[in-house]
Amino acid sequence: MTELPSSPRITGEDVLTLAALAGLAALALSPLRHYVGPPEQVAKEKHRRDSFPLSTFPMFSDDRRGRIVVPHVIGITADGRRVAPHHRHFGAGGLNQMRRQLARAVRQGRAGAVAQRYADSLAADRATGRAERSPGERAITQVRVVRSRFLFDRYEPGSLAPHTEALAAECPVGGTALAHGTARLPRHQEDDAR
Amino acid sequence: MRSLPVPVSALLQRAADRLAPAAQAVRPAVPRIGVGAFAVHVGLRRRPMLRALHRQEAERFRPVGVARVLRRPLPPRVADVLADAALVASGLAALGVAHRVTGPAAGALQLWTMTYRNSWGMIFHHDNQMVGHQIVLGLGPSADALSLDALLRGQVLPGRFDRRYGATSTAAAIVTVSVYLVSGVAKVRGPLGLRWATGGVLRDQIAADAVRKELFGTEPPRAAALLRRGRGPFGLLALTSLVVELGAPLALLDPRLGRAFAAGSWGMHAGIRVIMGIRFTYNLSGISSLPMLPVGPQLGR
Repeated sequence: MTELPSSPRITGEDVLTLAALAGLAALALSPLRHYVGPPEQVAKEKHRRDSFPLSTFPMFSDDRRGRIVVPHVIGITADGRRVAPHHRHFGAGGLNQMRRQLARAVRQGRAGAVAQRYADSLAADRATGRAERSPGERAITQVRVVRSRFLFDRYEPGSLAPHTEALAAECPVGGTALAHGTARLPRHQEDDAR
Repeated sequence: MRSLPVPVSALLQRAADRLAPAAQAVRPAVPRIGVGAFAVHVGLRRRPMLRALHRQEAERFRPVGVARVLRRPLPPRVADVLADAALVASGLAALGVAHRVTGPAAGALQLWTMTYRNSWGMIFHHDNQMVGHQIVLGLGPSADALSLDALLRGQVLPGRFDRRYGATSTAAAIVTVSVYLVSGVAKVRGPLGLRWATGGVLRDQIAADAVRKELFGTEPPRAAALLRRGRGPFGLLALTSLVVELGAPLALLDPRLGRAFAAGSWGMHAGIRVIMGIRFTYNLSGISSLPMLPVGPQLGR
């Protein structure tokens, strides 16, 4: 086995290379500046300043205190069962992107348009025969755009039953949407106690 | 560097030997091939989704990063062409064809395509490393070996040692560890601080994820069943995550620490995959850690 020679003496060019590496590290770590300051400020800035590819990676860092409020669409069948229609009825881009877009639409008072979009998509599936692939969705007669609060300790997986729910809009499949307002949820009792 | 005081010069020498070791061209070439091949793979798989995404209503457009130069979405066909160009450039860069052009082009086009993809109301955080790697490997001399360019020059595996090869590999490693470090700081700068490691926040996050998945018509992760049985493995997963993420920069200091980090981060992502049902494919494939596993010899002192 041949012994390798020693590494070369450092040159001016090597110092520039080290400076470039330091610059890259500073750039890649620059989102850390949004984690400096009081906790309330950090809690806001980490979401407000999130970007790409220099992200603040705020996921998994919020304390949810055992609950979540989700704006979403729920399907209701003729016998009153709750069925969750697939997010593709609202568009492409995956679950999380659709979830965010839907939440913003509800916040901006466009829940009626959301309900109409889902109802029209479900009706179109029936017309084209695609609904046959999803018996649950095929049974939906009405969609409701709601804001729901779920308490993790009390939630039964698969039940789709929230702790509290407020209606923002509704639409029969094949019909016309009716909007009900901003769907404000009553404050959670633990929040009142604080 | 004779003009510098001896201690400074010695310090710079040590830093250069550690961070920009004189290595062979094969060192950055291996990550170039892995990253480029992965970019082509995911680009082809996502192509139909991206085309649908480009055709969404303009009111859903929320530009971030470099896409902020736009006030409204691009015409869908233009966005399609740019995404396809990123795909082609990534393939050519992986093969090492005219890399001085295709390398930077792949980095720039992928930066645009992925930023535009994240400009529709939701920022995804699993493409940061891939885009960063494509940029630094595209700008660096990563196609001097194992490339068509090298084949045409008649030296597929040149034996020359150069600090630029070691530095390019380190630049890619900096991209990798930065993502982990920022993620780790985000957790300990949250409302619970270091108590994040007890697993409660992670448990709630998994529960939130399960509820959302059910509400939007998809399958919840397997871990949802564990949630009602107390803390489960969440404390262990949380602690492992913090150790891996906050300890990531150590991987730059020594190849053995780099290998330990590569193994630890892979284990963390495997745990996330099993328990949370979230796939970080780039990390689980091991490609994100390739810069931590230096290939070929380097000159030592």
